[in-house]
Amino acid sequence: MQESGAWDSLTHMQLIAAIEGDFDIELSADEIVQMTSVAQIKSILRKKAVEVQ
Amino acid sequence: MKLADKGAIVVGGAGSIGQALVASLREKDVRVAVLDKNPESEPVTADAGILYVRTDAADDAEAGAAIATASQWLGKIDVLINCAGLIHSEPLISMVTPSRRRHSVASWETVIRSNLTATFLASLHVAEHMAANRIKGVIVNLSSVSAAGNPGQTAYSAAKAGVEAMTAVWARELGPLGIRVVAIAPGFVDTHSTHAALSEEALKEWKRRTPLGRLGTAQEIASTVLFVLENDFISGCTIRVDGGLVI
Ligand SMILES: NC(=O)c1ccc[n+]([C@@H]2O[C@H](COP(=O)([O-])OP(=O)(O)OC[C@H]3O[C@@H](n4cnc5c(N)ncnc54)[C@H](O)[C@@H]3O)[C@@H](O)[C@H]2O)c1
Repeated sequence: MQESGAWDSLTHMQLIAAIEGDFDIELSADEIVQMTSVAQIKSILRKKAVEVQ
Repeated sequence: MKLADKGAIVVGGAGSIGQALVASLREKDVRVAVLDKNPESEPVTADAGILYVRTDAADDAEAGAAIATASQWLGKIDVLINCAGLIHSEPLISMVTPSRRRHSVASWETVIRSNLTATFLASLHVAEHMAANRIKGVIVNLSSVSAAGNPGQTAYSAAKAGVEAMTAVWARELGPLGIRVVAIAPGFVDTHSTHAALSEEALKEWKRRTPLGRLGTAQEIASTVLFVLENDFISGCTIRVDGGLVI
């Protein structure tokens, strides 16, 4: 995701807000910073016991 | 936001509006760290719920250190109120006073620092603290009706228009983290700063142009700040508290 030209901090925060809202979870600042790829997002969500494919 | 036991920083909290604001926050059991550069205006208080930190908030290193001190004392920062400022009147060019023909660059810089840079720096440090600790906090910025472009106030109007623009930007950038950012634009308020910046004649004229026919009070500004803090759906806007005055 970091390589994608359209990706920026604001879009990242909007994605985080959407993930928090949809899964009804709260992410820590460290987790937010680490969420830089789809794989990392999935891995963090799994750790929070969210079912992801 | 429920205010009891929250921690707030009021930059410029030793000023006229700042003092009214600090008193109102204390009435709601908010612990308050006052950051102000003026040692003369340090409030004499026995209130253990107020910490006074002398700092120039327009200096990055000083602002960072003062906010770190405040955050350590408060535990966490839930609220930042940017109330530092300097009201200044000076025409761009003067056709009547040859000795002061052009707007001074020094006064431009002083006014921009107090009103715009101090707001930028305090918000920068506090937003970082709120984001790192996932605090769904509130930042309130003091603007002015002069942001619309008040003749005779180039630097002050520019600084306050900048404050309103930053408010809109930050509400969008920080909103996804649950942080709200709001500006309040007072009209002419009955404070020392107003009387120092404007002649009594000019003030009389402003009162005449204000539909409610009077100056506002610092208490009326403070109560608006409390309203903004307590209402969790206000963000990104500028609330005018001006007796109906249109600049
Ligand atoms: N009084 C009015 O009529 C009026 C109207 C519209 C907007 N405002 C705004 O409301 C705010 C408060 O106004 P006030 O009337 O209480 O003014 P004030 O001059 O009484 O208070 C301002 C305070 O900010 C402090 N300050 C200035 N620069 C600073 C810096 N770099 N670092 C730390 N502290 C700094 C000053 O020491 C002072 O204590 C200001 O932003 C002002 O522009 C006031």
